[in-house]
Amino acid sequence: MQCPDQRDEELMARVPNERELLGCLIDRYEEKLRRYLRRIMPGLGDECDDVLQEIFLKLYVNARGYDPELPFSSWLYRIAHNEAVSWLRKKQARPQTVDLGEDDIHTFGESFDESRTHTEATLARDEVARVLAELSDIHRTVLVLRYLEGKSYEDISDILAVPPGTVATLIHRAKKSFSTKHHDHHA
Amino acid sequence: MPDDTSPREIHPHSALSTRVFGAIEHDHIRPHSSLHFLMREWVIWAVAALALVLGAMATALTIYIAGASQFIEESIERSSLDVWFQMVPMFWLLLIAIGIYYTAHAVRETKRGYRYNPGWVVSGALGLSIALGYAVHLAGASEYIDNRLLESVPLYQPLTAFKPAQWMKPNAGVLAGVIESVATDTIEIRSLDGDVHTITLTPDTNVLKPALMREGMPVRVEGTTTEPDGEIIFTARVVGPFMGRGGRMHAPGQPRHERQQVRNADTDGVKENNRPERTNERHSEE
Repeated sequence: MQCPDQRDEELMARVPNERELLGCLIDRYEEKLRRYLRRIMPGLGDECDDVLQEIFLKLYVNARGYDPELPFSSWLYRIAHNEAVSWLRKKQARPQTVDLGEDDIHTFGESFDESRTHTEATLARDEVARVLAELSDIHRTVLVLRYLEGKSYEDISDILAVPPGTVATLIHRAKKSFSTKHHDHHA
Repeated sequence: MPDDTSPREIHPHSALSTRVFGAIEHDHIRPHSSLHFLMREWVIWAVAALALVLGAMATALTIYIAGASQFIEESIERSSLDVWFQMVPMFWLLLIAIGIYYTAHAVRETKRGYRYNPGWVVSGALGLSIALGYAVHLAGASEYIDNRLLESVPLYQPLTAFKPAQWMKPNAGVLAGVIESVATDTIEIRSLDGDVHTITLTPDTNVLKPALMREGMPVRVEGTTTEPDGEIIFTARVVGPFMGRGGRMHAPGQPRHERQQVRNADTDGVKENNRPERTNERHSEE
């Protein structure tokens, strides 16, 4: 069976009655979500597949509750965010770093530091990972969504279920917190 | 990021897909029905509506009860703050806050509700409560509800700071009750605690609504008490209809048919320029 050449929203509408199409959505989003989870959940490790399984099961259970006016990607990321929050709450000890890919540092550095105020201290991958891990969960999430996942303010508003104005405030505070902690590391 | 919509084979044996479909089969997981989500939306909107009604009713009662304090402030010259703390219905203010909170919370739980600025949602809920509450109050429902609660729910009196005792302090110059008889320069009142008091009227007495000074009408009196030669004389400075809280309550021991007469008395269309009928006989205290 081939996955139909349809948009995610159209596939999602068919999933309740055609369960096998869930596999198409898993195929499309597995790697994206895996990278996203590793970026926002310090110490995720081998539990990543468990979390991913829960995300897609929740997607399936709530298939008929999906609002087609909302981008499917935002809805899926919202489910992933809620699962991440639950997992982080259960986690007692927090490792000191998140898992970033080779290209992440370039993506993060270019889009985060638009004013180039950090050119004197090159952002090293380990440093970014360590500083991100030290941020609060919500600050880390908004920075990852904005500067690594490339989400717009409206997308982030839909993912976190907060007003767009709140997103702007969160990003502003997260950047400030990141800069402060990064500066502390270099002091 | 653009969606990847190119046709692909479904990978039934990809590790994650296998796990997910395996869990679905093993645990007999099924999608929630459409009715489930429809009911959720209905419940959310019902909660919002009920909370709004609660807030509106609480607003109406607050307006009514706060307004009923005016007589005390004007007639016995107590400080506004003192009166406010005695009369302000904290119980209803708390319900207003609860109503607004749950209205705003329910709105934010709807599909698009999270996009609205929380401040605007709360302001909107507050504005609607005030508008609806004022409409309820203008329709007269607040006084009716308050009196019914005062009569039927014992806990309501202390919760809403209704203190009939503050109207039964002749030594402090405050009295309220039902007129038993009207004479040329005296009226007899059966107070809220059942005692009968003779009130002396002087040319300086301010009778607020002369047309309503007749037997069976609830009144409030403010004045001074003197004890010349050991006899207690209550001289009225202000006499007016007791239309505030409890004004339509029956006096202790008053027969039920008389209560209805009292309630209907000021709706009988008595004209303002009618002089009250006064008898020349004094009724002795029981």
